[in-house]
Amino acid sequence: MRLYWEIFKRSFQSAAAYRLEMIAQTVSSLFGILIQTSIWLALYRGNAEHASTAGQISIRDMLTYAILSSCVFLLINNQMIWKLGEKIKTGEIAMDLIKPIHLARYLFSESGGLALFRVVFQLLPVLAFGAVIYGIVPPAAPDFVFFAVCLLNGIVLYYLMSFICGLIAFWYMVNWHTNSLFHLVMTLFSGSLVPLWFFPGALSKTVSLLPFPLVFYGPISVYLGKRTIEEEMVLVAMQFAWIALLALLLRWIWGKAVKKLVIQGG
Amino acid sequence: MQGIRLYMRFIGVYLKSKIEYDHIFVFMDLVLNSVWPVVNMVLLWIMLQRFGNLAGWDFDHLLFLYNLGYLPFLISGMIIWNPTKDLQELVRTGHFDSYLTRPLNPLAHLIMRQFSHGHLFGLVLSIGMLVYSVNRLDLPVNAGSAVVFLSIVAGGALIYGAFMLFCGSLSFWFIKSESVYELVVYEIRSLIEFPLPIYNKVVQAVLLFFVPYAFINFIPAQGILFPDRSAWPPALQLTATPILGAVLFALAFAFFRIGIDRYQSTGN
Repeated sequence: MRLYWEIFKRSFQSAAAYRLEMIAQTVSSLFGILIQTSIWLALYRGNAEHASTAGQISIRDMLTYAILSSCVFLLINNQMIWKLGEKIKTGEIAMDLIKPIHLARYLFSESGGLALFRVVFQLLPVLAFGAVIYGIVPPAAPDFVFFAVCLLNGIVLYYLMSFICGLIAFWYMVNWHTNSLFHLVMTLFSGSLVPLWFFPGALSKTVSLLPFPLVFYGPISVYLGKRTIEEEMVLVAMQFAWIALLALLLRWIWGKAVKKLVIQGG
Repeated sequence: MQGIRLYMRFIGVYLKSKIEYDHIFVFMDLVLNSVWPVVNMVLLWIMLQRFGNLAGWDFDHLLFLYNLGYLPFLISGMIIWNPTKDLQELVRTGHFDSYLTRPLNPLAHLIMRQFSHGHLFGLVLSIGMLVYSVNRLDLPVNAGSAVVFLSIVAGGALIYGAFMLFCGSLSFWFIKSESVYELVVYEIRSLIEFPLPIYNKVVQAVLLFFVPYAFINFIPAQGILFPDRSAWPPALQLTATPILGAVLFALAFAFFRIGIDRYQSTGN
């Protein structure tokens, strides 16, 4: 555990070295919020509420949704596919395999440190900006507890998915293709831009079976109190099920990948 | 004309070098570079089937608006995006020297030695979406409207090109100017994917007067689809884009020339 804590701390410190990049990312998420909120305000046309598959959604809900979605993105965003891809391409991964620590766990604590850095220097400013300009709906206390659990699970889920995609580099070397494809699927199905409750009914039902909306749409809809307690429990159960499934998948792919590496001679 | 023939030769050589690679990679390059507008349009469609319209623009109008902003971006992307982005690295390392010793304008050489093939498929998609929206909107298609349309696209490409060149040339003065490039070329650009009136007054002013991307798609699209919504005479709404594009690109080119005069090699 201490080892992971050290990695966590190191990565926090090294993140501080890329200040310019961090500022650029913050500006980028502020632009995202500006565009999203402008679109929702224009779509609502001064109406207070709009019908959806999850009941009436108020404009304040939607503004909060847009801001929180940007915040979740800052929390989960990692360069895993690039990082793994580079390691695999250069053969550096052979060195990582020698180390007495599993690469997946090593990189997870590393991205944890990065995430904490982002929380302090990007997420909080963005959240404050959003709250002051557009206002954020406060959650009910029980919802907030569920939200915290869902959010954490969502982070783990996203990490697992991006790690699995990163491992694809063992077979397919063009990282940016994998990265682009993964982000494309996330953008369409995670509800990061358009919540699933505005999707056409049948599409919404299908997409909600996938792991992608469990990262954005799931936690945020819980925060906004759009789910009954039973629905919240089902959501968390689904997250755990997907985490278990993806962890197994990761192990399986990892085993195959390492075997392949040995065949190549590293 | 000599220049264009030379450029075609350069493109030919470039494409030959690409075909050397595995076909699947080249194919994925083309698809993934081009598929994002489709994703954006799918999300927009999902929103619009719930809400009907966005600031008085329904889906077909927005499809037209989006692609009128995207097509010129692809064109300037193919021609001048790489050179202006590379300029920062070239100036920093001193490799820009070699461009000053050729019997060719440095900008022309920068442009000719690359070609962004990834945008080709996007061009086809974007034109396809434009044709679809023009059909759906029942816009008149004749020689006159074709000339107007092409001049708007060319003007838009010049406006994008001007800002790419301007931001790239900043590297003659500042060692690190990537973030300005990112901000102006990507972030601010993403604003014009939607109609201007959805934004607050400050953003509108920026898009009209400081980084006038609104002239690339919103002003001409409004001139074509809803000429009555603007106080400007219709003719001006349609001709502002090419005029502004020519002026801005001339200014950016002058700025680039001043930058070259100021360039002192770091040696290599």
